[in-house]
Amino acid sequence: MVFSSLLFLFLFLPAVLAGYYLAPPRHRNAVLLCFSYLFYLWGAGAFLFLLMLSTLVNYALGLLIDRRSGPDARRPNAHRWLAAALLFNLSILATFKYANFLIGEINKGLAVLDLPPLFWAGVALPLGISFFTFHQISYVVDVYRGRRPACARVVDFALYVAMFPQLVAGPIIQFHEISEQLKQRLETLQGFHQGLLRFCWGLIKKILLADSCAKIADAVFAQTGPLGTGAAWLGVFAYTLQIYFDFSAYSDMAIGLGLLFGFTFPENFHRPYSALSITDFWRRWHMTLTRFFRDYLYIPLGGNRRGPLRTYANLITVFLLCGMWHGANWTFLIWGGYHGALLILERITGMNRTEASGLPLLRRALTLLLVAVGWVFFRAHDLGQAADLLGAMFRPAAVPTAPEIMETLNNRNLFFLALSGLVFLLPREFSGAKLLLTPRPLASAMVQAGVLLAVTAYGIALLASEAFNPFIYFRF
Amino acid sequence: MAHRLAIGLFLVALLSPIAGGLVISAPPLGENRRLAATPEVTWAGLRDASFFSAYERYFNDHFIYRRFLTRAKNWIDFHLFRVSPATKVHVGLDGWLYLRESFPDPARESCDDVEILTLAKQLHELDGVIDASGRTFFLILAPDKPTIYPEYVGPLPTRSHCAKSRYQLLVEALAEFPVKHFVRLDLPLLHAKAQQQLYYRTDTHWNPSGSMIVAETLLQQLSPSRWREYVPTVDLDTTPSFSGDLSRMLALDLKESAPFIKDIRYQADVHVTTRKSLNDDRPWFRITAVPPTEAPLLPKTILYRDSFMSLPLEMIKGSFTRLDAVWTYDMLDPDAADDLRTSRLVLFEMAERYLPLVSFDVPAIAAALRETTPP
Repeated sequence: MVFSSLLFLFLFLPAVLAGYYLAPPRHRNAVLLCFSYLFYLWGAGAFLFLLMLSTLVNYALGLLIDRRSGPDARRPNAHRWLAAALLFNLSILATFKYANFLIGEINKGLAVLDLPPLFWAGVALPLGISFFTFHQISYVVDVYRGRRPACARVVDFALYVAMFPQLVAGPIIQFHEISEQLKQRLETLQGFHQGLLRFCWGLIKKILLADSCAKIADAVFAQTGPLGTGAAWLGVFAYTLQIYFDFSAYSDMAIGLGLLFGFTFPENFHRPYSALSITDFWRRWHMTLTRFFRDYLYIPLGGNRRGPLRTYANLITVFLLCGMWHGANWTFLIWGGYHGALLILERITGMNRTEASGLPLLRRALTLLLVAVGWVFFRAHDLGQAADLLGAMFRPAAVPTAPEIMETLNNRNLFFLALSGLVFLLPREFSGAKLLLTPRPLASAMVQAGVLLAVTAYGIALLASEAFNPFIYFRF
Repeated sequence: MAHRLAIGLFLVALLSPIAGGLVISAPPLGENRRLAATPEVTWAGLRDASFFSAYERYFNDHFIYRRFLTRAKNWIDFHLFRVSPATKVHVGLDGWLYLRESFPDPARESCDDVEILTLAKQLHELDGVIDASGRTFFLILAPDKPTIYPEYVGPLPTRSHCAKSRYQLLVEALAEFPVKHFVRLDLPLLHAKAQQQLYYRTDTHWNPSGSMIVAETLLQQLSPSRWREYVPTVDLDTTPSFSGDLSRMLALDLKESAPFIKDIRYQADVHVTTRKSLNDDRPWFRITAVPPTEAPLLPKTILYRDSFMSLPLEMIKGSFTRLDAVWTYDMLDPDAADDLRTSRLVLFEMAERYLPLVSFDVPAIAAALRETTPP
């Protein structure tokens, strides 16, 4: 179930809101947890049991770590329990996310050596595994570090892991950022109203902007034949916009849904395409993931405190892992390595500093270009396709645009693509969501509400008509 | 206050589909497809989550505002963005709509079409088989709208190197594998289009004017000497509010001014019996005509046909002693087997767009025809 579906909007959401607000405050976490499990069951089926099992194991390990990690305790075994917890979580991730890829690659190597392949039946990827595993890692590490005590109530911890707004696509909320809210929070009308606006804003971004850009990008990336230079660039920029609007829209909706239930989630995006450098880009793109890697990997590895060479090694390690986190494929690894290399290059040249930068427009454009090139690896099915696309982008060729691409270049998609493209040009501090939440006079607020309502209704109409599939007659 | 109002509106909007769904069911959109049924709850379905996706399809199909929202979205797409709201419909110039599948395959590499060549070969063999059984075979090929009105198609993305229509390809193939009585409708329609509009703008089919041309051409081939006696007197009028099948596929109420048959008078008394419904909603008629004098009518005939023949059928139905009009391309349909055996003329009409889908089991048809002799 995705947020931008009729089922979620008109069945699940009313049910969870009713269940939550009709329940006594002390049972609200339990109600939200039940609905979150239903939400997960809906998309992942039997993997719900994996989620529950890993939750219980981490809850137990958290208690074991905490008993030995109080400020006054000597905590002789805490690091062992922490190691066990990390091993458990990373094993789950490795098994379900990377084993297929790893064994596939080993078998390719064995085939070259004319050796029999390793037997591996293959496993399906559980929905949201990268997110809920990172949440659990954040929990055990925060407890180990003594930043927060372990959750006393299993329901609170399970809710932290499985809360449906952030369960399958984040934002990645570190335990210490939300632990107090799990115990006590205040649901207010103002918060509900803000959540409502934020959710609608995300819904509009997803359905109108991201999905329109996706149609063009998908057509370009689906091409198997030769691609013209113009079509290749169009596809890459459409994807650049799609991924931003899709992901940031999901974050907007997650943050909005959190507010409906009294939670304040951290922001995940801050105008990343206005970044002046790749370093700046990573301060603005998927900020919760960047923070996670910074706090739980980069800094423990030594960060930038152990000299330039160690810093570069740490950077490339973090970004290779960041690439792999996004998916088990060489394309993601290359994408991560590409960003790591660019960050190192910026550190060497001093271009990572944004405070006193000259030529901001040029730097914005260059950063955008580099990011867009990186998305080619991210989106391509394999390295061969990425190489073909990059070849088409940088080796001018007059290839006629395929009809499948031309089909997508209709007025509607082009209009929303152009509208999305404004994100490249708007000021660095501009925020659509903030603009929406700014208090304004009643008349102006009414106009804003009317526009938002109309555009949301159009978005919902797009959803409702997705299954519209007329046939001229029943088939022979 | 503003917050309360906004939240109230939001909650009403969220709850109204469920509340409304308890009282009334979603009005249909006329998509000519079966909507998703309530899925059965099974353990396997829950385990692999297939139940949930099936339930989502059911929920979407039966969403109470679906018709209203789809029509609103389609209206915006069509009128504001000038985009076809249904991928199966192409919006041409000056309000002309076309069915996408009536265009040649945009990815066609060349004009060598094995399927059409195979079909021509089968038709040639079929002609021989029917002829050998003592019956006469007439092949009627209904041209698609783009074949007659390519000028209103407008820009159409294609990478095909073949500019020929399927119609032209079959005509060329039939030159190699001839059918003795091939009723070519493209030539008279192309000739007549300068004088009058022959297809509806918002529909895939001939309008009454085009149907009249078709009926006359067909009767001319069936009876070159007496065909004028079979042509009925048709009074046409014009309606400003015709809305065709393509308009309905867009879920829009696009109106056009179009002729309609106000009155039709045959030379004979015509009796129509609806025999049964074939293939869901496709009608199967038996039409018998009794002439007022001794004037001879065309012999017992079976017509295999599709929707294109609906209007021309109205114009030719007073011309046969008995005409069985069967909406199918399957000449071995057991329900129509007796009609085939007892017919003297075998008319087979097919639409250009369905050429790649049609094939014949010629030996089986030959065997079926061998069992009896024509009346």
